[in-house]
Amino acid sequence: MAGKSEAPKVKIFACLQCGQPVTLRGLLQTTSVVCSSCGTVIDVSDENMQIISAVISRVKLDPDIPIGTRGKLRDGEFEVIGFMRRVIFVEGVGYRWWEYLLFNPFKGFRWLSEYNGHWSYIKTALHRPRIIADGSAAFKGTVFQHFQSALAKVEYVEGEFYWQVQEGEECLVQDFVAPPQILSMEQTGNEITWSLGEYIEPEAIAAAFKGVRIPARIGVGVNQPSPHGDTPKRLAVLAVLFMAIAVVIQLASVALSQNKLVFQDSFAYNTTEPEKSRVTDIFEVTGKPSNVVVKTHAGVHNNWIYLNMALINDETGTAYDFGREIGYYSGTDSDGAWTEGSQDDAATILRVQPGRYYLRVEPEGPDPIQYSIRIFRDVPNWLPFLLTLLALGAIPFAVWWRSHTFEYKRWSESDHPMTSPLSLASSDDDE
Amino acid sequence: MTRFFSILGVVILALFGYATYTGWTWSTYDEIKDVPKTIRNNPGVYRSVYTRYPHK
Repeated sequence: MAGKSEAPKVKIFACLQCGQPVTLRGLLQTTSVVCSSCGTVIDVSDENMQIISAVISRVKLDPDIPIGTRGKLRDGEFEVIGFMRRVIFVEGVGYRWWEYLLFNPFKGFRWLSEYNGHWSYIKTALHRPRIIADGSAAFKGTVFQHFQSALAKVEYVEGEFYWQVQEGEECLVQDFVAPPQILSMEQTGNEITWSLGEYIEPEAIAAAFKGVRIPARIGVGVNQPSPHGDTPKRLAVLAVLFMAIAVVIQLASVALSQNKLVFQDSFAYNTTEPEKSRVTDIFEVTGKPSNVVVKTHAGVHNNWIYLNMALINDETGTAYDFGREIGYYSGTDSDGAWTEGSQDDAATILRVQPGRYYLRVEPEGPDPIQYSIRIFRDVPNWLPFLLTLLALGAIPFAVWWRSHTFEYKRWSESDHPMTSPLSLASSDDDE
Repeated sequence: MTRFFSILGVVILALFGYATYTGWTWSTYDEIKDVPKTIRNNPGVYRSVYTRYPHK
């Protein structure tokens, strides 16, 4: 197999239980070895080897990285000398992961753990982290959020270890995460061990241990770094900046707008009149080319009126032709009181050149109705502002949503699952 | 993504600035050139393109 080209220094002896050859790769640094043939745990801390626990027969498991495989990782070349499968049970469901013990005579021991295709490269922490008030752990200036506490059981073990490990061994495990790092505490009796792991991409494992089978990733790893990084935060900052500029533009627009009433009058619509259309007096529209807003109010109630209107430039003969229906209805039914429509309406005409104008109005409707018209020039407009805010917020929101969904998946297997993608994990959630 | 959004944001603000300057909003109307001067004296000669009887 690739990765095993250079023969390591080993010691081979016969298993005290089954007689099959057992290989020692960790030399004087390992204290126990588990026979790969029968599973018997043998104490190898001194020359007088003895059986710690005997197993007559068992199902043999094949790990992804076999014992004896060498690979170059972040801080040197290491050889796999042992592995174990551990399990925790949550609400009756077993969650299993692999742990590989790596050894380098000059560097010492390292661990590789693999769960659902997610790998971590782990070293023993030389300093003890500090547990802070909210249950998080602080270590070397980084705050790690508590992820999970569980009783972990060794389900399968094979190879050498620096302590006397055997199947069925249990310890309390607490994980704290600050992706891509994970801080783990293992407690057996009064003995507490802390280790610091860092997420390692499966491709890096495949490159280090050439030829081994790398399982596909499932879900989001506990300490898997988010592919979104701090992009949501940077986009949010940009969006706030852009929105602030839009607010300034809008406020300037409001301040500089004329918003001037240039005409107002009231009219009566009579169905019996032979000629219903009429024209208003001429009014002046001034300033730069800008909008004209025609606001109408009609005294309709359970009724309607339709107004064909044309704003006509008396000098150039240009007409802006439009029609508006005003209808208002109310009543009660089994659900209570209801209303529909409105007695007011507003129509906007864009980029109207300054000049002398009049309005032609031709009403249609079933009943006589009083209505009034007010015409404003250069009215500040809020629709583009609102559309701009929506457009500026859409992409940051989408990126935030994807990032948040990623975190939701990460925390779904923790002691602090998010209740929905919209609620952030809190250490108080489960209390 | 940050660079893309930076460019997009500038484009959106430019469009917003233009819309604000011109007073753009959502509206429906027709612009008709050279309507007859006689409308002021006889409004009935003008035929609106929006003439309709929506409830009949």
